[in-house]
Amino acid sequence: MSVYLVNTTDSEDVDSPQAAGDSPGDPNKFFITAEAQEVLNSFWPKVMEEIRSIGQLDLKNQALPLARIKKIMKLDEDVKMISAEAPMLFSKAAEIFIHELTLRAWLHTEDNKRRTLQRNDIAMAISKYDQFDFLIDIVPRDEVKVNRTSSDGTKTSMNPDQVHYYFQLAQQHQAALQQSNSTATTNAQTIQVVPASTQLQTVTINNDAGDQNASATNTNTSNTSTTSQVIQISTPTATTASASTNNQALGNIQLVQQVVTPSGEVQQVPIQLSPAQLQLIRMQLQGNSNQPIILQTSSAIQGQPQVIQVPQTGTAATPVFLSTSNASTSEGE
Amino acid sequence: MAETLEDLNLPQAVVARIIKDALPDGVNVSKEARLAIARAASVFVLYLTSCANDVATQHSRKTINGPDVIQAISDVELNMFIEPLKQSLEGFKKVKEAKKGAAKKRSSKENSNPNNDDEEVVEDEQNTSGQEVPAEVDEDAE
Repeated sequence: MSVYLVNTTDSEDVDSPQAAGDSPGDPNKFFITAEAQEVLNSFWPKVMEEIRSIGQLDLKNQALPLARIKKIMKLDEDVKMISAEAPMLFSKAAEIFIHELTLRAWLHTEDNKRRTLQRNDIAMAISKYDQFDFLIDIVPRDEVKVNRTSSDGTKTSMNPDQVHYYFQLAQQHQAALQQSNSTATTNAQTIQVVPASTQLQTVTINNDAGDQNASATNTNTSNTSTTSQVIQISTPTATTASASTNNQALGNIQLVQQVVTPSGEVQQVPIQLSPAQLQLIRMQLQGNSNQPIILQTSSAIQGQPQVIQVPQTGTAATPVFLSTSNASTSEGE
Repeated sequence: MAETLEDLNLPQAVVARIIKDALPDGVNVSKEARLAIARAASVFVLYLTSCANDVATQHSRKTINGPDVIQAISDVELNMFIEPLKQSLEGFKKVKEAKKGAAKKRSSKENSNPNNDDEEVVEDEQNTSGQEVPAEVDEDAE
């Protein structure tokens, strides 16, 4: 009996037209096959759909961890409660976002005929697409990065803020010095010498060359004493609003040494330069000459000779290295 | 409460996989680029959170819900994100309902089967719901 059953099912399943031909008067049988066929036909799409939806779910769970996303969301202190679907949506959104950002970055990779997606491509993609504006600071363009690394290379680097700060300092001292100093200088230019505790000296020079950004400079001293100097030469320009009001454009340089005494007091010691020396310095600051110039300066008050070396590397924005030698003798006081 | 800074980044492996899926074969991604994308994604989530929270606050709600997120997306003009996210939200709701439905089905099954037999109803009323299920299954099999 079982064999018979198997046979009939076989004939039905394998070649149903033949089975139908064998017993044409059996509509019931045919109906069953049609129904089975229908079920069979709809079976795979159904299974596929299920699998696809499962796959979607799996991906979701596998994709970006909801707990992590929730953690990130909670970083926002204003956020109080988060419904269950929100992290899920965020995870999806972040996934789409990564997709989008990657593709946009890849456009730039292709533009440059490269096969490797670089960081800069992403930065470009971000800067080119308004909706990604919020990321501009997160992935900055490489130019900025290069600047940063190059400035890191030098010992003392100054960003404009710092320079501005020094400039302001210089002005304050200028004003203070004006009152105490009657050395016939109306300080169109001021050289300020501020001692620091290291051997290195930081010199900021803001000169007439039209560049408002003072250049960060490095000075080396052969100073053997514990006091070293920060020399600031600020030349008020027409463009800087910070030009001192009492500037009468005589163009003399007032050189002030600040000496920190062990007790912490700051002494300001004015040093006078001869007009010729000033002229030399000014030329150094303004001109494009590359050679170092050694100035023999004798400090008028202290009577100590000073050699100031001012090599300038061209434009105003480039670092200037000032080295003062045998300044140490005068600073002990 | 971030223990370390890494906790706030999305996992590298997952990000790398998404990136790889996005790009055709043979395109490499530098490590820096991957890091930058991962970081950007973190910030994106935070940015979107803040926007969604604003939306929720506007509606004087404390909870960020799904529609808030979608509204936030359209606020930041990432319009092409909306459709997939809506679908995603629908899918999520469906799954949730399916789960609920399954739970309901089970409980309704418990109630409906006994109706065939008067004796059973009495039995059911006496029983607490949790213990009925195995007994009923047995009956169905018979």
